[in-house]
Amino acid sequence: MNLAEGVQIVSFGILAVMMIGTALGVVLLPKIVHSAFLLAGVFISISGLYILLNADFVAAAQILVYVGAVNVLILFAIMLVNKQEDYVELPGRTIRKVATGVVCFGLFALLGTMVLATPWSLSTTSPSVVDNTVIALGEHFFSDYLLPFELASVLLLMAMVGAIILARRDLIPESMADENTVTTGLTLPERPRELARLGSEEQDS
Amino acid sequence: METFQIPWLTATIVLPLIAAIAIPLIPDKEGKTVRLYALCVGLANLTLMVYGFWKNYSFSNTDFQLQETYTWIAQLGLNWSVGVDGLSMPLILLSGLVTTLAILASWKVDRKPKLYYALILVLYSAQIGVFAAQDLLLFFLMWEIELVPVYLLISIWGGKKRLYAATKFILYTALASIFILVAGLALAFYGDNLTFNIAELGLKDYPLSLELLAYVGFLIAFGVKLPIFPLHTWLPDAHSQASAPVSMILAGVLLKMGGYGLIRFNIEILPHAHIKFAPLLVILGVINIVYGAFTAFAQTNLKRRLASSSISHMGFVLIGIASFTDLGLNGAMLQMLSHGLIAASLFFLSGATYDRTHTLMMDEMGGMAKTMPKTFAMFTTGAMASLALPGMSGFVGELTIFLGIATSDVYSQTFKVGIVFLTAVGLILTPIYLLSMLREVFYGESKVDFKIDRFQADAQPREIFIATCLLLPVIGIGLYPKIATTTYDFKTTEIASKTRAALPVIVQQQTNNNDRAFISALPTSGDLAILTAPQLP
Amino acid sequence: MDFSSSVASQLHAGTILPEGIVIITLMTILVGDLIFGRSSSRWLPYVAMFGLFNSIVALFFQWNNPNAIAFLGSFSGDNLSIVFRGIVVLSAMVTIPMSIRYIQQSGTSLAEFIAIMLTATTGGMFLCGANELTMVFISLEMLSISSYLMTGYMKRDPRSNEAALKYLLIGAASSAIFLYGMSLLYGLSGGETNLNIIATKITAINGTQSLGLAISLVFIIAGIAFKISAVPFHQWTPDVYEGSPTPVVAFLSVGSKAAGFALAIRLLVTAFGSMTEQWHFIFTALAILSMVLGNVVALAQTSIKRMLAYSSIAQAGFVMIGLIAGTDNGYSSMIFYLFIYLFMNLGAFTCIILFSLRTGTDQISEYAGLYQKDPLLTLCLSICLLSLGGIPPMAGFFGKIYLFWAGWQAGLYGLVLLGLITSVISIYYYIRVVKMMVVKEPQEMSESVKNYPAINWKLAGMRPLQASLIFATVVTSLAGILSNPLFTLSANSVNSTPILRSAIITQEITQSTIQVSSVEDLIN
Repeated sequence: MNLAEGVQIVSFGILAVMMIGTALGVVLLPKIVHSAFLLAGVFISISGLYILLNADFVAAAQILVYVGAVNVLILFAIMLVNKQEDYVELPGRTIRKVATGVVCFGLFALLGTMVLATPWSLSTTSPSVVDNTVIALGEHFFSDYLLPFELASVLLLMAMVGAIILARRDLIPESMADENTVTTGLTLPERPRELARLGSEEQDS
Repeated sequence: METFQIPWLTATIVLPLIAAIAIPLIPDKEGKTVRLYALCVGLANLTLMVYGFWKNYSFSNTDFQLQETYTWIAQLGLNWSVGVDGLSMPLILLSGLVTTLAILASWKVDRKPKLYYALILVLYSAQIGVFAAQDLLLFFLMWEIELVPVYLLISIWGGKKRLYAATKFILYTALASIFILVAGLALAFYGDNLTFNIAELGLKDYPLSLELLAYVGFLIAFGVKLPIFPLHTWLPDAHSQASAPVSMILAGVLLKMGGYGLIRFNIEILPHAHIKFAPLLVILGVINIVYGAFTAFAQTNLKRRLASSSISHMGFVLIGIASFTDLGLNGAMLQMLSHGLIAASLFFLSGATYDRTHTLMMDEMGGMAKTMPKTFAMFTTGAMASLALPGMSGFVGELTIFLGIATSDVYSQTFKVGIVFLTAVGLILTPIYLLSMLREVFYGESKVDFKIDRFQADAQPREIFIATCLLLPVIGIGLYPKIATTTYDFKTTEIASKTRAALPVIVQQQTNNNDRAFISALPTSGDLAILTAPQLP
Repeated sequence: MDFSSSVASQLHAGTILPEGIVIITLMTILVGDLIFGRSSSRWLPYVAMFGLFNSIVALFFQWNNPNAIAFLGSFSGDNLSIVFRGIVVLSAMVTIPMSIRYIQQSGTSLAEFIAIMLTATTGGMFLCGANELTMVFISLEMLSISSYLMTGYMKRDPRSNEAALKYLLIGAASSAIFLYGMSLLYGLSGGETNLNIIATKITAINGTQSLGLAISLVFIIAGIAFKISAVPFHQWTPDVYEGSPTPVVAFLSVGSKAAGFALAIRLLVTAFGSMTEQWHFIFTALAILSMVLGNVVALAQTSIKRMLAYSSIAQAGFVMIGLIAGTDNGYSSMIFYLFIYLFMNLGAFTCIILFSLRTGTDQISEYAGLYQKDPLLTLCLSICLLSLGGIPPMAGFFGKIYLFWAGWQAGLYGLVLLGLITSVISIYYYIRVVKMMVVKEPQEMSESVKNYPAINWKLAGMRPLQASLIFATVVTSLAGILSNPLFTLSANSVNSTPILRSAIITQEITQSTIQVSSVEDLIN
């Protein structure tokens, strides 16, 4: 074992412990803010693992996207909501916990066996051959992964439109309100009451 | 020389269907135009089929006639392939007659008339389709088409418990019809060539185990329809809850589908299994006769009593089918035809009575002979025909079946004696319950709270006409049975000889073969009879 | 070396022309809505339908495309994918006219709804042809995310919100499981994402028996089963169907399901070709559970939308028979049935939309006596439901017969028998609705039918609804009788698809040995 491998193993150990520790913290800590911060820890440790795998671009993207954007958004949401709610213990909670634990452990054992038993075919390309991962990724994006890459843009566009729809306030057009008052038989109960009320209020004001 | 053949059968099947689809377009709220329209369609179709048979049908030919085959869906092997032979031709005529008269009988339907007549016309098509289909898948399709119209006809225009009866009907029949498809698929896929053609299916050589399984499947499917004893429970409900015209069709035609299916599939396609199962059929037939007669006694509802008597009468068909003689098979056909006419007339007349009395409970009726003598006369004629009075068709049919089973050389003497004896018990019971029905309804004093309203009078000319149309053939066949038997004589003889031809084969197989397990698993008495019968050729 | 030109010549970008048309339509609608505002909702749906129609035309001209593998193996435009893409587009095209009135009535914006639906359609179409793991996942997510958005579109309705949240959570979990399975596949094949290469490499590296492969198979099937809502991955279905806007349900039950089946065929037949027996076994279990549970639980439903949810679970079970059969006829019966199912199910949903627009309820008991008030609606709903129940001469009968026929041919006797029995059970609950509408007397009429508004087709958005209703009903009643072209289409698409050809040939060899032995068993 040379020095590089030793460093790798040690840093893998540190990162793994960090990741599991913070992940446990996310689940177990009572304060949601703490959980949110620890989540950032999980993301950072994952990006460390990426670096160990020579995936520098992915590691950077991981930090930028997850820590920089997603996690910050989560924190914002927590701060905006700021609502205290008493935690009610579910009846039969221990049984649920035990059952979940058994299932999870079983799954872990199964997957662990599988990981160890399978003869994984490791990539034979040496990392030194690929001098710049960004270029390699770019070539892939514009050759064999062109279609998924382009498709992702449509997906993101629609996600944006959807987010706007969910976030914006609905305005009820005047014509619709009129029509509703004329033909009562055509109102949908699937449409909640306050919508109709809102429409009439807007008309009044 | 290829000339254009008029597709008579396709025309008779499709005409009522198209007419039914056109019904919503008829501008009519009251139902007056619609009923006239439906009657015209019924008559036109009846004329069409009579004329078509008159011109093209040869009685002495045992093959399928008026055949038409068009490929419908090649991938499935489904062909629109129709044709008639001695088995189906009389039954098609019967269904044409009964359905047309049922349309006339429903003259007073005032609720949802358009839907009513549309459903009757669809039912008309499906009945003819079932009898004419030569393709097993087509047969199944027609068989299924008939379900929903009957369901709706019972559940909308029926009696008080109509929903229960209708649901029971559709579940029984739909579940049973699964077996037609399964057995059909099993037979069709057997061997190298995939075919659903009934004639070609008959030519295949199946292993005995497959034949037995398919036979059981068909037996269950048709046994529900016919009905055979443990599978009959839907019938009293459906027949008694349906309105009179629908009961006419149910008893007159739909039950015959079961008998027809048994002959067409169980005997013609699976003769070897039939030999195994025949004793069981005879026993079930006897149970049907006796059980039907006894339950008929217990009924206080007029239509339920008639329904139970139907069960009893269909038992004769089973015995005839299983007799292995041309006489017996002949009798089975005749019994189906005559029961079709008689049951239709009796259900119609009970409906006519109900229109006036608004009750079907016999203990509430009485003394109606005075107020409605014409109905009484017709009812008596029908009942006499039903109890097999000589000179009526019921007598000829049952007598032929008796002769058939008695002269059958496949069953042992003791078995035959027992069967004839038990059947005779049923025969004695029949007049008792039918005559007591007449007594309760028509003789005696009028009950106090009993009044005849709405019509105030006896049978109308329309009703007399319907009953006459049904009863005249009954008497005609009774006096000169040949008018009915000529239509199918050759065919039944051929089928009987075919099944008999299969007899030695199976006996040989049994002695040579080492599948003893099967023999022991099957009904015993008849098998032993077959094995030990000294008369065997 | 000129990188871009060498790549461009191998792309065969024309293969995704139909999807391109849908995306352009989608952009037109978004931009049109921005420019013309509210008033554009009058013509936008027709633009969308026109675009979808063009997409179908483009699909038609792609039949037997010589350059089926496009984008360097990412996308396969073979005939199988064309047929499935056709089903997805067609379902969107029938869904849009029925949603116009519904969406306007609920006071939400129509343009965005249509835009999301078109995205879902695009996702579904890409999923049908996806030939590579990344592509599979991206298109699957595209379909799913748009579905979540549509489910929660009535955001003022708590039921819609609940449905969307449930759908999102369960959907995300199943996506994660699916992705895990795919990552195992990626690892096991030595870092390949193309399905065909995976298939060859996996057998070379792992042989046919491998724990990793089995786990990956199970995980991937879990993801697919979620999409086609097969029991036990069906829990979201009833709640989502009940809560979300009805047009969305209509699309989910047909378009999304068809895409799921296309994915199942492609992924299982190619990548898991070496494990055919195993996935047949798993799907047999799923089919049995779906048919039994779907049909039995549907009996107890009081809301017609929930009933159709369970019925769609059961119908997925029927379709799986074709998948398990694994023969020519099996696959083509699946395609045939999905075509038929598209029309009958969408027809039924159109009727439900119409009824709820007029009365505002979807309880089965409220349909009592509808025949007196609205014979057309009664007729259409009856035809569609009876067709779903498999009553001849409606199209559903032929579809089911074909499935059972193919199943029997492949020797799946038990499964076919179970399918037949459960379809009799299904007749019971379908006919219950028919009974409710037709049999009830005027005095037994429900409150909402008593207050039934005068039938008025002139209101905005009602004409397209009527058109789509009549179209679906006519197709449902005639597609069975005149089904030869459909039969030929589905058989041709299977016969001319290379991935199925090779799979079927290996299948037939094993099948014939099994059949011979089973016949021998029967005889002895």
